[in-house]
Amino acid sequence: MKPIVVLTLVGVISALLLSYVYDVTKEPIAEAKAKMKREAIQKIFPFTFDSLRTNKTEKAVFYEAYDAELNIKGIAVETSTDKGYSGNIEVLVGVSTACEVYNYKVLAHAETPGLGDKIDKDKFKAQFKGKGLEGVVWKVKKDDKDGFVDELTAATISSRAVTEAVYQGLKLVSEEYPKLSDK
Amino acid sequence: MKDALQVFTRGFVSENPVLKMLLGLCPVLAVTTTAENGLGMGLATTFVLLGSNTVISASAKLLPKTVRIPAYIVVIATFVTIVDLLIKAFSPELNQSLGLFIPLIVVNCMILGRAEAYASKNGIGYSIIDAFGMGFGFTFALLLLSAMREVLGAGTIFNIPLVGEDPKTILVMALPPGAFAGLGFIIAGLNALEKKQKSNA
Repeated sequence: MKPIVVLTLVGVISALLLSYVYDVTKEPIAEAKAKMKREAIQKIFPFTFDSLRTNKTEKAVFYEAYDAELNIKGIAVETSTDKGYSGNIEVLVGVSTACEVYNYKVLAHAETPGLGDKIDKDKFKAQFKGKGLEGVVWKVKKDDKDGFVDELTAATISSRAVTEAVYQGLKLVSEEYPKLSDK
Repeated sequence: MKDALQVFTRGFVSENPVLKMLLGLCPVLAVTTTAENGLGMGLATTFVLLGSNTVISASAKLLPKTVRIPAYIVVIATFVTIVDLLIKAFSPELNQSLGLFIPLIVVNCMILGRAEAYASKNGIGYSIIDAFGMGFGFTFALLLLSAMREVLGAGTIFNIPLVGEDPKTILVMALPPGAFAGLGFIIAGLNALEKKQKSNA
């Protein structure tokens, strides 16, 4: 057989096989993605929510968490910062109806393993709990003695970046939902 | 039968792709930060190797010599894409940690090496045995290196803490230099063992 015929055949068979596998896995992949997002959002809220509504604006994507009676319980927002030690840090910030931080989750980062990646450890995250916009200095202690964030040893840049990202998230929520803090 | 056993076992020690032939080192060094990643990468590679060895040994006579390498690469890339889709669909957690490296299996020279050096010249049966032997040998080497790096670098094994929260660890083992150093120590240890065995015999 001529080489060109053989290569074409090999390509066609591969393409057919792949289109079949793609078709079979398409739905499970979409489901897995949706499930992971839901689980990620669930982890940053201290309560269990009943339903999620996505609110896409020009500035960001907000996820509104509702309980069974359709009362809003909290809002999650995705933000990112390019001030990390290496590359972007993406965080999902959970905000309460009183416009205070519940918790956050690092969705993607490329910080140094063992140093900067501790931004995803509960011990570091706990500092942000219950912090709002009013009367709180969103700085690491090294930069500002009034700041509340104890920076991670040997990972000040990562700590600074996360502080900034969480603050951005909180600000985005307070701008998008100005009525929240009145409640 | 003895022949088949020999084909299978040589992948573990005497012709181990990582520890003896030093093939496919890019994934070996990149993903072995935790034992879970090492095991996942090893098994994914074994699956691809199994698929490519089977198909290539079955179709070796049909492929003209001039285009055999491109044909091998298409076969390998097809299996890698299948693995990629399956992992995305059924193990999203593994996908998060390995996702970036799965497509790189295509250029793992160990797989192309087995296709060219073994599967294209031997029957399907032996090629499958060869794929299992080499694949498990690869997985074994990855698991050894990643377990060592996880224990020393993070103080955990399969994400289970060994010495409590926040232990003092040898951080460099979790970083890229630790991969090179760790692999070097394992290879040196293996060579020393073999030398000793030879001088005893």
